[in-house]
Amino acid sequence: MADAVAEAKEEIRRRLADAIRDMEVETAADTARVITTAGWFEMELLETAVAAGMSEASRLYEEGEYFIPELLSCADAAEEATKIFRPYMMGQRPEPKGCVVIGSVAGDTHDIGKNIVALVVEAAGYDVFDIGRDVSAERFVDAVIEKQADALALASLMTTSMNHMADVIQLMERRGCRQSCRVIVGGKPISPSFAQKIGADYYSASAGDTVRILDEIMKTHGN
Amino acid sequence: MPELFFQEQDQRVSVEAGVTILQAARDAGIIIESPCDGVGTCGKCQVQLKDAAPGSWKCEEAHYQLPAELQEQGYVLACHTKVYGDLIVVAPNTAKQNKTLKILSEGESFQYEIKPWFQKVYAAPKGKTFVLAGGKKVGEEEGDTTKQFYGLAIDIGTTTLVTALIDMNTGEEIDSLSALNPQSLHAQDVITRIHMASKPEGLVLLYGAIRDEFNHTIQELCKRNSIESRYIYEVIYSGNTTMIHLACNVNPEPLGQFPYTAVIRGGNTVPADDLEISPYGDIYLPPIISAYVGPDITSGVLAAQLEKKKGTTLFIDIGTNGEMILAQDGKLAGTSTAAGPAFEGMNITCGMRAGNGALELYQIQPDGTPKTHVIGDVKASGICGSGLLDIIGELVRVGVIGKSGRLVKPDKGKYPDVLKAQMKEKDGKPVFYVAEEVYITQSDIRQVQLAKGAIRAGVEMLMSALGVEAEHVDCVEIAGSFGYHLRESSLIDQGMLPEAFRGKVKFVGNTSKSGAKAFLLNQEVRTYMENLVDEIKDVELSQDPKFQDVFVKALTF
Repeated sequence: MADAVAEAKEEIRRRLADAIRDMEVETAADTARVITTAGWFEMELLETAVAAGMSEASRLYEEGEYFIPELLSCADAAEEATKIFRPYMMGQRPEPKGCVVIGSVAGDTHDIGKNIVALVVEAAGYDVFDIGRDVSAERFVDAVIEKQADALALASLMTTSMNHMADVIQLMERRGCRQSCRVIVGGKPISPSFAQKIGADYYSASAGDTVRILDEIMKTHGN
Repeated sequence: MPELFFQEQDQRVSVEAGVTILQAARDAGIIIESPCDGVGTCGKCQVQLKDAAPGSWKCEEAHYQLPAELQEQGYVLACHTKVYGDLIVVAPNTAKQNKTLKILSEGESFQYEIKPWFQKVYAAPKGKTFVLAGGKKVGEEEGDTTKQFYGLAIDIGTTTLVTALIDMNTGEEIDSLSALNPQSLHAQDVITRIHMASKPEGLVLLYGAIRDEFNHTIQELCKRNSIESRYIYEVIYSGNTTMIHLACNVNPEPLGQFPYTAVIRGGNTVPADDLEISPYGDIYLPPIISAYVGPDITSGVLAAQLEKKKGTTLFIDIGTNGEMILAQDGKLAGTSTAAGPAFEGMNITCGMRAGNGALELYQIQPDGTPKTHVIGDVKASGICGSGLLDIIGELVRVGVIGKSGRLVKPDKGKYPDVLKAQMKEKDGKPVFYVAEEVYITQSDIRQVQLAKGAIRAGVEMLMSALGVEAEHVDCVEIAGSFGYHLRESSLIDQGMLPEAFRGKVKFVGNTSKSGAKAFLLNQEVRTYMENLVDEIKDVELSQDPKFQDVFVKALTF
């Protein structure tokens, strides 16, 4: 009997993850309702189903199978399910893997790429604080200090604004939070040598890359 | 000091240890094409090092990775390779390659009276000819020179320059010359150019390059038509806002950073001291509409007489920046959208400019076989912008590319067998061959999706700003020399333009130049347009929260 329930839970967990991966917003919502109606409120089930779906979506995006619209549709499906779970999840939020502040640097108002990185990183189990675009060095550093962030991810799409990344790193040093927070930079014009030149810790080429870098950071610098 | 020998150019240069090959070449006046201005993203500045001794050079890691087989043959990126010892460098001689560029110089126009800002009057008693500007005397010439009265209308494109020599007595266009904008060899797209010109030495290089090209063109035009350059009195600069800054030797830095402001607003004349024309000569800059909707569009609005048209007309210049104006019974709104340089062949694996060897037309016939045309009727060596849009449009239509932009595998697709044979693998990834050695990759398609999505999103946002439905647009005018080589079906099949525009698209050619000509020949249109631009509603996309949704929706085919 216990096995049958476990099997049913596993099956519905898979169904929800598949619905998210397949961008089926309504199926995701319906499946989430089935779960709550059955009274299966364990964190295990609610959280891992959504995370599994999003992580498969991220994988497909990285492999080139999905593009921006598909990934965002998966995120919509995940959000629908999460909305239904939310009332049952109170007080049992899982421990995040780490905390990341992310934003597009001053002078740059492009943020679709940055939004995707935020989405994929969040799906991988991190607490993500997206502080937007055209963000000044002061605001970045304030957020890093306030959130006690493990990492700061800086994005820039334009060669004309990428030099502001260096300003952020310098301000972190002056305000004494550079040691406790790793800096990851990325975006179209950014290169590994540019990252090195401005004193960033990592260069990230993609959303998936950012997750791998964060996992590495948490392994070597996490508590 | 290490010595570099540039073999193709037969030039030896001594350099400080530690400078990059690109910097050394620039200092010596040798052009190595570097569309991304040495940032390391485009990979086009590759040069070959011959028999290089170990330690004589060092490569830094760049965003762009050279394929392993090229590295083995001694190829490096000139922008990321530092020199520490003597080297023999083989860099292609660009002067030879760019002679075959296809540039359109004609554009739609309208009737206007010949009434230039400059006038020449012969004062018989004194035996002198007075030169007047705006009714005021600015100089005099010996004898009666009233017959020799010329002006220039220049379309300064990001990639190409078109200069028309005009007889200001008759309004006749005597001759016209096209050339590559020499700045594009140092920094191809607008943003890269702003970045480069924000540094004093960058501005010196870019301004110097275009000034020399202008003077060279003036000389050539005068020689060909047996006129003297001192009888050229006025020049019109029509181009996007950034190009106008760079042609006027003005640092364009504020254009590259939010809130993207222009230093030059246009609607004024400046002395033509650096141009080899009449000592009394000047340059008129047509008014800009906004930081990213420049004098080239103002010229286009004038040439197409947009504010006078009945009904609804959409005017678009498709390029690195898609600039567009929507006109509804005299009410105008404009915007611009960052399409990126994909349409100019940049960031496209087999991309190239529209010169010899570029595949410019691709049509799949009913039996499934593709019909292609290559510029210069030679073997295809790459794909230019119009060819790229054709390829994507056609492959979407027949199902080689799915709605999401994914290349559909032969076993899953329902497209003709002849096309299935063109789907091959390269480095473990699917690619589609359009010619023997020319193919498109999945990431090329993504680049086109981003570019066409940006244009479509701009069109949608502009229509919504004026409350216009696509069905109610009566006419779509596509300007620009790039646009002229496109076909309506390839734009609509891939969703760059809405389906409702089918049958309404008209290619109006280089209206930046034909409008500039009107600015040159009739001073009244200047005041008229200076007033009109203030009434054009500026639709700013990056500040609109709806933009992302519209853009993402526009990415699919």
